[in-house]
Amino acid sequence: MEVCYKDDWEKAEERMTAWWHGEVLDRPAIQAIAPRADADRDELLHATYPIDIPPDDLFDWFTNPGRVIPRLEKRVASIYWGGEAFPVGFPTSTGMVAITSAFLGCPYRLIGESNTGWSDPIIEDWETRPKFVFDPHNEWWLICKRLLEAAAQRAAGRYYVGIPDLNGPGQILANLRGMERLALDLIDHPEAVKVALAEVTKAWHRYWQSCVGTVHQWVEGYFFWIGIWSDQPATDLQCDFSCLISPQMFGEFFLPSLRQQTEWVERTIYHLDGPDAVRHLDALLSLPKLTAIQWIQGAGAPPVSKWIRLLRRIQAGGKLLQLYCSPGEVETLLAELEPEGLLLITHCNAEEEAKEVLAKAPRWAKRRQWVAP
Amino acid sequence: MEDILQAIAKRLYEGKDHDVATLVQQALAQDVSPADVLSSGLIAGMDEVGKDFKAGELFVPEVLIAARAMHAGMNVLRPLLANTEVRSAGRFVIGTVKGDLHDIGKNLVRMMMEGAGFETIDLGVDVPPETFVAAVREHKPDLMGMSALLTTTMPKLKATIDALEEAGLRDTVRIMVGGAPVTPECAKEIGADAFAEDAASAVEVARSLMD
Repeated sequence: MEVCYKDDWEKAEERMTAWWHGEVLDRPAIQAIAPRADADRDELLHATYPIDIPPDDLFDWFTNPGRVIPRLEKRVASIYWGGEAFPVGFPTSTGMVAITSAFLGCPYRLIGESNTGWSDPIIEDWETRPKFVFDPHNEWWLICKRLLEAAAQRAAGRYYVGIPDLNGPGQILANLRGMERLALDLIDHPEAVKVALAEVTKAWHRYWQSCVGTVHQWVEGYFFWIGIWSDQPATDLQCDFSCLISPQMFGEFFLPSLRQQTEWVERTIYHLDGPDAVRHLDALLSLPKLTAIQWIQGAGAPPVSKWIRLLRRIQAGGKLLQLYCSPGEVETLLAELEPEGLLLITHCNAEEEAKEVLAKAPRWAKRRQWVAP
Repeated sequence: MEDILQAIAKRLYEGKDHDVATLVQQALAQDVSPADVLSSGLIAGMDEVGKDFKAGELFVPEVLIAARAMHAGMNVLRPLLANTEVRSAGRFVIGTVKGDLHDIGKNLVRMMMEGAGFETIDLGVDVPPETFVAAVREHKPDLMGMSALLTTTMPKLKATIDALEEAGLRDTVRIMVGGAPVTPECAKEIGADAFAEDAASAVEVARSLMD
């Protein structure tokens, strides 16, 4: 597909293909994203967040294709997609997190103030809980499907379309039951948890396949919320609930589901979110088919460049590594980390800054035995 | 006496709620005072839970079953405490700020504070500043805790402190704040009295504010 809003898309595809294979071409993979020099920043902000949207209009703002798609297109056209960033629109806003919980029956609320979605639990009793299966008639699934169809038809031949944040089976189950109650259930009702998680995992897979299949009617590629290009099946894995539990419980309850996901989808990247998730790193590194790990240090924690030891551990564990960093951290990260398998995503204040980062990156990289352009 | 109190603490630590209730009854039958059962049995057990939670040896599920065991013991003890001069460690109001629906961190803090003998009033989640103000006016707490788990809801921490100031109530209560994106610097900047890094630290912080 020839990509609009990006002249160097072919070279970027080559670099990303190399990244997925743990290789490097002329420089480590970097996405440097910024508002275009001629972008109206206020418009871009309003295209991204529900600013000043009254509570009774939020649902329509998030879900009406007639409003969502023009905003999406405005956003795609207003951004400088530098390096290995590809123009991609996400019709289900980043605010609609863990939407699979809604697909499986949770009442779902959109909170404008915090630009987030919230599920209310529905499992009151393990004996009488609903079955968790793909439901093609679910209201929220139909909303997302409509948005994906509208976006993909509009984007066809020009830019990519990303699927919703489906989140991961473990967190979805936590949303279905309630975080606190699930934490107790790991001790009080372990077998019921395992049975439910297996169902949710299968349902997750059906929804993932359906999202991808919907987009593929018009647009190729496998884009999920991280915004990483892949021409082969690819998805994120998540289990934020794991921050509450021991490595032993993680291994017993959640690792089998994650392993299953890595067997279904060729390329997987695990969202390792925050210091409390690090205790599960060894278990994750033991998954032979897990492709990559994304490290998020979390708000309030030291910046990503202060986590070099951890990041080297991930690379030494044989996984690709994806990081978000500030433009000012790119040099340090490139100097300290192995270039093979490293993908940095940095959001710059201006197009010029993004271009400067990309121009300097080859000189900053740790080992430069490849031929510079 | 020590043996049965240690047994209460141990069973509480292990999350054995029925055993704790039974042992509390046995202790009372042996003329152990309710105050001693509370401080050297139940609170002592929760203090160990808090210590090991902070040290990363216990995790949330284990803390929850210990808190449940504490409740089981307190259900036996509470009617008797009302007839004694045992006072709570302090009165504590807690809530998650407006726009934020995360509750597990707040709930863990509440449980640890109850486990330490504080009387707690939980305002829930998505709590606007005016509700915190009303709660301080009504309950006259010694301490107030606020939780914000999202960077987008952090401004509500300051908004609430400002609302207390405007209502002339700021000086009547000590305020501690916490939540994943909250830092000690942020707590100082917004005028809070203290920052609690996590539920395990909250009790220590609370006790120091009460001194």
